[in-house]
Amino acid sequence: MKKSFPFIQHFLAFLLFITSLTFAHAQNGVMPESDGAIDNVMRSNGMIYVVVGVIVIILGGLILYLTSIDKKITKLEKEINENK
Amino acid sequence: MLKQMHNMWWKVLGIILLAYTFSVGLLIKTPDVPLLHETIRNLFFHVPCWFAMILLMLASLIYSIKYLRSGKKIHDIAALNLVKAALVFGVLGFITGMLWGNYIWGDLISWLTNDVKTLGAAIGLLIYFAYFVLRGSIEDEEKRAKVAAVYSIFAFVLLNVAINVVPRLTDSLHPGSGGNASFTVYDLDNSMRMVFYPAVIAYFLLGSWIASLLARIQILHYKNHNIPTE
Repeated sequence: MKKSFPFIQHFLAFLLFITSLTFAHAQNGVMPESDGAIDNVMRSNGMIYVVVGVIVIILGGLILYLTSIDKKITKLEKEINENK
Repeated sequence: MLKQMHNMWWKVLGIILLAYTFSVGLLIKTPDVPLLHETIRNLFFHVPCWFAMILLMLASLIYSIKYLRSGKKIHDIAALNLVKAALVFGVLGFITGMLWGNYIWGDLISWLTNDVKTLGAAIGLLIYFAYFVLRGSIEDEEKRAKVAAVYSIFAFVLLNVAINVVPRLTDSLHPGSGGNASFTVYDLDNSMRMVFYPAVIAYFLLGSWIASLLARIQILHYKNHNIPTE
């Protein structure tokens, strides 16, 4: 049986994206207030956008996991149809 | 057969509590704590991930013990899929914690080694990832279920030592451990608790829902191959 992991690939790409952001952050120096447009946005309005980011990550993660469950069900449906 | 899996009421309750968490959690007035500012609201979104993870793993532990007592395959299926759902929340807790820590603690590169609790959580998750490695390495179904059930008891104890016991003995950036104040200090009128506990229940119910879907898929898979699950 052929196995494919598109979900894991997406997930790893997302992780890479996150880490690349943070590495860029680290290389820009020690003063966190002065670097990057993303940081300026994140730190505005009492850092509410950090909360928004957290909510987006949770929602995105759950949706990604949901699609993986969807694929499992599709595979199972195919198996059952073949057995008929 | 686990009849609760097909019940609707607890799923609806989970949805209602989730809606409550995400609306009230963003709207209520929170104490203005220096350094944290608005990110104190992450108490309603990041922290319940970990609480739900531990609750789901506790449920998995209960089903593991049930399996050891009864030998019914359905209990093993429940235990396995509860761990899967728990790890989803664990990973989400990690990623959200990385984002939060990046802006509060200022550095994300050393996030793993700087803080005892983060390190403990990483160890705890790895212990549970090993649960799957262990399961995958045993061919015989019955032996696999038994060994996994016994391992899950040890894993749960180790996870709690790593997350809840060790960080309290040393210094940690996380609140409630070392010399740090926990969030209860800021929560003067219990308004934050009124969101936090429903949030934990909501995440737990959502996790149970995910686990029940995974379990039903697995049961169907077994039925398709004419393997009894009772």
